[in-house]
Amino acid sequence: MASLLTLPLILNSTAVSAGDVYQQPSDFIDEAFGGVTVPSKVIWLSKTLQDSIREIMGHPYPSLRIRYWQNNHKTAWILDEVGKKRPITTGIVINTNKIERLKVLVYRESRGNEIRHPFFTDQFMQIGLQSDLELDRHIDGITGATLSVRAMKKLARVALYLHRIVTNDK
Amino acid sequence: MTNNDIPAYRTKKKVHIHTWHRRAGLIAACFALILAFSGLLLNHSTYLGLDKRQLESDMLISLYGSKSLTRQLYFRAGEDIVSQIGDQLLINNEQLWLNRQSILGATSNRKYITLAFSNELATFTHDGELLERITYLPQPITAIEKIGRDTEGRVALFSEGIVLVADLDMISWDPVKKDTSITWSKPITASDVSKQPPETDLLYPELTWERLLLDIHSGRILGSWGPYLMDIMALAMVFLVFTGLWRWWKLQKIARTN
Repeated sequence: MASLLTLPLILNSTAVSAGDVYQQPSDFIDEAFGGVTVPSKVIWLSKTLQDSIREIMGHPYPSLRIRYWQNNHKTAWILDEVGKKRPITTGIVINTNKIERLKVLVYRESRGNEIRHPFFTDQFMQIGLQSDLELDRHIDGITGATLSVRAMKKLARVALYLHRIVTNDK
Repeated sequence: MTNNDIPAYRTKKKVHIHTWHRRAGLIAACFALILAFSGLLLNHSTYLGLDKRQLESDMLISLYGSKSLTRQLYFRAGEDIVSQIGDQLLINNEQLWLNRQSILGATSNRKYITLAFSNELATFTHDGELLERITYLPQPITAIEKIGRDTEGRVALFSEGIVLVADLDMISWDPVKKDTSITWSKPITASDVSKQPPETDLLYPELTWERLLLDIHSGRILGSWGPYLMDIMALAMVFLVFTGLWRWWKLQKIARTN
């Protein structure tokens, strides 16, 4: 049991804390679907999916499944990735393989929260994923927030990849 | 040796400054080396992974005492004991997860163990793998007050008079039916826990090599007086700069005169 416990502990070695909440995940999901109640689903992260996620993030996603919401060709995701030391909770809405909205929901780092501003997140609008799992457009960084910017790009790629999987959109 | 034999610039007053310059240099030299090396490593701590590498040496960890372990909470979840010591969550004394928020309760069924915090749930398999962090709380719950389970093992959440029950796979939530009996999770005392993990077995997530270097660099590693000692060394180095410049200027002046 100790060896099995080591992996999630390592991947979760950054202690979760409350952080600055810019929007509740529930409100983000409500806005994503215009107030229409959409039941959540889960996608189980098979070895194949985790291998692709590892290619994107540099490590597997630290859970066995990920929750998402889907209405036709639109999906919404609440994902976490560590910036420097703490996870950044991000909401991503994807419509027909393009990001419709990306928003930092909870920021826990001591600095770098400039990424929450529209001048940064608007860069992700209508961005898609290439076949090599890279974004199809360049994202400008922010001085002093390199690791947070990197985390956002990874989450965008993961969300686009998983959207493709659950909707079978090519 | 008479005063005539002493070089002109080295009068008694100037010997005094020269001597103090040398003394300050000798004392500050050690600290300068420490500052230089720790500063170099700190400048590249991310690249070297020092911000992620945790201290493992008992001797180094002991420098920090056990201040991070003041919070201790225990809950019974079925046959298991879930405890939170500091930021660390353990199940049956095996390290499970890290979370700065205080755990509100824990429950388990044959499939999963679920931990509740005020604004999220964390569900684990009985093998200790994280199934999911649920940060999207089921509507209309905005802050969890209690967690429990019904007679069929389904997880229940309570908030402001509202009770929701999840399906056994923890995917969807529904209002609880009337007359459903819920057993709510309550904390137990440390004395109810038969065995607690030894402190040295616990991880200290904040005690990284970067943290140690920062404390060395600032002097805090020496306790509350450490920063003042570093302040004195900093002032000594400022003294060295100015006395060194003064000496250089004097020598230049003499050289020009000669």
